[in-house]
Amino acid sequence: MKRYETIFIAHPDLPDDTIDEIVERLRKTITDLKGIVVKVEKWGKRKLAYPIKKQQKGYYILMDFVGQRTVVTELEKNMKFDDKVLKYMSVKKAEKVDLEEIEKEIADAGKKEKTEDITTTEAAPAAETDPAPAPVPDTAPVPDTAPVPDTVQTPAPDTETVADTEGEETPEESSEEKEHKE
Amino acid sequence: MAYNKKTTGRPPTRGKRFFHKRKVCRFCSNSNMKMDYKDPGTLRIFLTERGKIVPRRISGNCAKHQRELTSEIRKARTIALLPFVVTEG
Repeated sequence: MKRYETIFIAHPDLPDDTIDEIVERLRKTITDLKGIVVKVEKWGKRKLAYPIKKQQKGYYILMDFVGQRTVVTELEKNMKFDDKVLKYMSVKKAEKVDLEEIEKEIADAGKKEKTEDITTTEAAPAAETDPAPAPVPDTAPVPDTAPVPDTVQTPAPDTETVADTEGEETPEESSEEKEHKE
Repeated sequence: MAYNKKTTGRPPTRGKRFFHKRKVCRFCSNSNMKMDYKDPGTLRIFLTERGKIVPRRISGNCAKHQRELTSEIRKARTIALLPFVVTEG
């Protein structure tokens, strides 16, 4: 069991209940694969740093969960085929998790309705507490970046200011000068 | 030819040099300062106006933190919290 974090950007024009629907669906995919949802944060509408699918704004949602690699694969597959999701990114936060600490965090987050999920996954902690690290077929979960929008690739204009290099004298120059004098 | 100074235009400086204040890594000296890709405000300090990552020799970060910072900025860029490039202006 590893800890992951997935951020996804939903279409900004969606009504609130559609967003809730998406979140619930993703939550279900996690719990179906014996994952635990630690928290779901809705950041709300934000301006994007660059347009994605011709949208200047996006609705950010963060999901923090614990699970196997398969959970992430499933989750990303789910979002890939959803037009309402503009972009998503998953990040691995921790290789190993302490289930008790996770429980505590969930309690802190005030997610009461999630308590039954913990009890169901409690049955399989033996595998993780094993001292020998289980050979997890882990191809490091690289945050699968969705195709970067083309608009990003605008080449920087040539008028790049090079204000960085001042105040630094290259040592070669001074030595050259020395040679000249000799 | 003996005194060819045209390369830099500056007189050859001997002994007296610019005095540089030793820069300290912001993350080492201030343990409250955390970098996180979800917090673009902190990361923006280490970007130029064009959205480039400020080099270590300017920002004064230590190698370890600069490495971490770079990966955090890249994550933030991926999810559109920070720009890859700023073209306007």
